[in-house]
Amino acid sequence: MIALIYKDLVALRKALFSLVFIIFIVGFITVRQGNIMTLPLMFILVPLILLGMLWGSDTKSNVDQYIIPGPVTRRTIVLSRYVFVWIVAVIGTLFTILLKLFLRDGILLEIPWYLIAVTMPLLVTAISMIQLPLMYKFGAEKARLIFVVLYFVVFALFSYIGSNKELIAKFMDKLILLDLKIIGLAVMGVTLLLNIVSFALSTTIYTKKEF
Amino acid sequence: MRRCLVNIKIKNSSNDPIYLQIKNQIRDAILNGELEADELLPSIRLLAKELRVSVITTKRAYDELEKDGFIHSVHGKGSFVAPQNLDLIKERFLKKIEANMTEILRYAKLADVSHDELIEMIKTLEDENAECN
Amino acid sequence: MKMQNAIELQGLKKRLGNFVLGPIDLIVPKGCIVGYIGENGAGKSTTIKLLLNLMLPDQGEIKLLGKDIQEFTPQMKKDIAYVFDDLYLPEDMTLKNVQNFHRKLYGQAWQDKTFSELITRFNLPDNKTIKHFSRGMRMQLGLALALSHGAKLLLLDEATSGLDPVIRDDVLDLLLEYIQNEDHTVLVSSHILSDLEKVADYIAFIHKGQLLFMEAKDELVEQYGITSLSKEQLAEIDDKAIIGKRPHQFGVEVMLKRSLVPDDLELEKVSIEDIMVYMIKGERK
Repeated sequence: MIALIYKDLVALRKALFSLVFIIFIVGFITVRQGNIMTLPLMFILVPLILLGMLWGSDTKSNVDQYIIPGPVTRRTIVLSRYVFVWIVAVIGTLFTILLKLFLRDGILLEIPWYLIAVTMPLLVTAISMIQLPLMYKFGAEKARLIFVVLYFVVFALFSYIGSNKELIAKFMDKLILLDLKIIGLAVMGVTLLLNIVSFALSTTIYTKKEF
Repeated sequence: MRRCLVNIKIKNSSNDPIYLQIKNQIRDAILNGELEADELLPSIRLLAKELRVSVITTKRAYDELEKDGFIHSVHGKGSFVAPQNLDLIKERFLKKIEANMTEILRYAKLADVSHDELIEMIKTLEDENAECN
Repeated sequence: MKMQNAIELQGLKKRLGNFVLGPIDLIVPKGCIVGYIGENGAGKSTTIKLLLNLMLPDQGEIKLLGKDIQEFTPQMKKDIAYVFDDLYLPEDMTLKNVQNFHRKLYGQAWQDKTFSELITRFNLPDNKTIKHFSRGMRMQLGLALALSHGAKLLLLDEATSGLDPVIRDDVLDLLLEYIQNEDHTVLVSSHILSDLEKVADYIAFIHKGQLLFMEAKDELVEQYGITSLSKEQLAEIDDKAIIGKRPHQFGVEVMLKRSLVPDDLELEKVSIEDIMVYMIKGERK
């Protein structure tokens, strides 16, 4: 497992450096504009970018064919990819909590830290969890195509919700009535469920795959 | 008991199979005293590696040498040159010569070849073989 | 009971589109080198992929080192080494990265000393990324990796095809060194065996997905002979003795079964490649 993560980090070495660099630049710009919330939200994109690059590198080198006969199970190979996303999620979450501690004002201050601690993992992992099984099933190229379609669906959903604002308002009213801690638990539950189901799906697909 | 140092040459052009070439060369080395009794022979795997032939080939050569009583194998220790009863071997060879000679004489009689001519033939053959080697 | 066979295939079958491999029954005793030969597309790679669990069989059983591969644990997989026609690792890795990766991957089984020795022997640069390695160097690295975790079974799939003779010669030496341990077994698949033919103990010949034979090389080579005959001479030969022939304007070159032709017919030695070519051509007519 450690070997696999190591391989991923080496393969992405250059990309990781430029990514950290970009985050710093974006951070600098957003801080100057006073729009600090953009920074944590960037972490939603990070795993997607990294996964895309990892898949590119893996497909090019055909590395699956090399590691499957090696001393790992197929399940571990899939797990390593999930662990990769989870590491990004942990970093993103810690980063956001730190940001909150050092900030003087802004919306982050109003959100309790435990809510950040459960929301960030969901935000960071959500898209990857949908994308990973698709990538295992259809390969990176087709998965991306499916995702474009998905974007449209989500977009349509949002515009539907947008045109039915009263629905949202009602929902929000109910939500506010609830305890924040319960919301936090619910978010955690959703995250866990999403991650577990996604991992189970990917493993099932990958164990049947032929090279 | 010293390490065996015998020259073995493999000729791909030869009509003899490789195992036979190995067998004959080791046998000759034993008979002319190059290899002494109780000497340890190289393992079949080492011999295969050095000569770049398959293990089956060297194993077959050793098996035949053992069958003919030239070497004996001790499990886990290797193959050793068997003590040779030279008189016995000489006797065995004499018998072979005798058998072949009988054949030669039979053909000679049929083709009306005199003894002198036969001896002349043997000399010519010897000279030819000397050139080849 | 001591395990005696390195590879046991029983009724192994795999369908890939129009191509059907098998059913294949094959037993490879341990301690030997097997040449697994056949034309391109005959099913060599498919077999090896099945052995390595990269493909799943439709039917049949695969045992490596006496154990069903479906029951292999990661620990047991360390006993199997493999080299493909290319080194399938991310090309941004340097030799040091590759070494670290395998150290972590194989843990206790990894033999750093063996690996370093092989790298020095092959003269491989440790600062370049493998992107800049030549094909020969990539294969050498792959072989060094395969030989550095104490595996008992080494599978080479077209690993030396298209490499220069000097590198192939190195491979030959390594295989012979590897086989010095009688618990070690090698299976080399190739469409051209060339020099590797010399050291093979057994030859397994696969054609259109079917295993035609698996025999000791010496016996195989001794069974057949090649000669040139006139068409009249050929007519006198037992049809069953003719394995394959190449008719030309001035006669016929034929490969014959020695046991079925008269003793006084002078036959030349055959190579494994001759056997392969004549058998495939013989079947075509």
